[in-house]
Amino acid sequence: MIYLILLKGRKISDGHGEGVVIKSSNPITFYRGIDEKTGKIIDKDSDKYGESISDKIFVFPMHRGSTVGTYVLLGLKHYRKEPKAIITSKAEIIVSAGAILCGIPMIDSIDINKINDKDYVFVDGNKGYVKILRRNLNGR
Amino acid sequence: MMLSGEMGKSVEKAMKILLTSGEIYEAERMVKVEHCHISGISYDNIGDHGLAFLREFLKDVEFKTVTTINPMGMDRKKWRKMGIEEKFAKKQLEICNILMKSRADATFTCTPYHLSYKIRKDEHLAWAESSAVVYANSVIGARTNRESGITAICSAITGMTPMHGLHLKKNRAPKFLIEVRPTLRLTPGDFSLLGYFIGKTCKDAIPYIKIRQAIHNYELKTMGAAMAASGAVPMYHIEKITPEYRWAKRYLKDVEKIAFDENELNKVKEEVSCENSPDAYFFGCPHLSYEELKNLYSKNWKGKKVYLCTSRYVYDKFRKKYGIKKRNVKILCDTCVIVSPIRDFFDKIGVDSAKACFYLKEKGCFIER
Repeated sequence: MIYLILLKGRKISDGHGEGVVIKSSNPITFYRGIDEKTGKIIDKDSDKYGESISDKIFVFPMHRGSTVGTYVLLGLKHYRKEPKAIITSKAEIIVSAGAILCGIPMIDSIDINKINDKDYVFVDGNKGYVKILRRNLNGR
Repeated sequence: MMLSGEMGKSVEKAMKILLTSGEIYEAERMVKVEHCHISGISYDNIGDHGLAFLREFLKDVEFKTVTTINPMGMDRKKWRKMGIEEKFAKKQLEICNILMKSRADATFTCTPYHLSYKIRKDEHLAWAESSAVVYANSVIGARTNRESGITAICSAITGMTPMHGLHLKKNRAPKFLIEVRPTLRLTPGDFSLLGYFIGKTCKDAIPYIKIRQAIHNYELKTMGAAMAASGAVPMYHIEKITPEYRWAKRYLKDVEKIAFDENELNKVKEEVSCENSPDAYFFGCPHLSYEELKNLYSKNWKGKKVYLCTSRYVYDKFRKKYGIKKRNVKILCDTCVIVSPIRDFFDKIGVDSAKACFYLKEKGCFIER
């Protein structure tokens, strides 16, 4: 049996994206935290340090740090290393503005504890929800 | 009308960003703004993708508001003499042209309040550049949040900003009381260090400062800049000095009380000072006012390599009256040591600004002016 778990959140940026989740348990900083040329997480405090968010569904609890972060998102798009979608628990304007400018679907107000790293998900930025593909209801 | 795309794709996106911002920060409505200040102008900061973004986003867009802009990566006229490369200059000038085409004013300064604009108390603004934000809120009593370069551009395009944060009186109340010990007599440089301390202590909250000595305008300026750099403080009140302190006083019973004494001052001084002698000195972080430029230019620098950074507006005024004679003291317009690659020409740079120290890190050496 395949299940689709639906989590309802809030729309931040339009569009649809689907793919594999990369989930950071720690708050993220885009400026000096993500390399725009490779999509790799370069923040040493992150549990996903060294991994790339490129073409993935990027999930994190919240964003901290400089407003230059918006330009990092623009950089990721410029170098074609942007994530397919962004899911966070609490959005703020630095990442949101970047997502809107780059056309990256984004939602917030999601309990990210309910999403696992490497889940396959469908993000609907227009309606503000995410659907998670699961083989059973208890986890994976 | 802006959202339907009738007025262009960029206007639509700008409006979407501001509406999303409004939703995130629970603003009840938008408020009209007449003056926006944009940061993120230096090619050194925003790079090729920043340039590509501006080129696309500002294509056929005219700003609705008075729009002033931050320093760029070089002196617009003296860049060759500065040692800036041709390919850098070409891209920097393209950024300038894009902004001018959209009707930004060619100010290239972090101190729009030193120019001829009339900024009034209680006026709603959308300013980026953290040091200018603190000055506008605290010294003038105008109202702006700490915008990013991009949200400031969105406000310049649409003429509005979401009404939240410091646009609302209640959010301008202090959360900290900073008491400067009466026995402590602060030098101009010490005010910058006090600001550095306040930024680290208060983070993004608003302090109410009690201090017994008289304060000059440029000391307020440097103190504010430092707290906005080491922390994210958007505003301060100073008893008997700033325009809203009487209103702010009533909130002091619930605030956290912090003392600033000789001990704390020395701790900060240690953090930003260095042992080696600087090979050059940069003053003007934030940009120098006319008075400051006059005082610093007339000083005997004893053969040291000194750069004075200011706005072209202030420079032109000064040059008209006094003329330019010296060799080892150079006045740079449109730029500063933080956003210009000129910083890479030196190993150790002497600055009297704790904000500059914060950004220059090991390269910066705090000295008294």
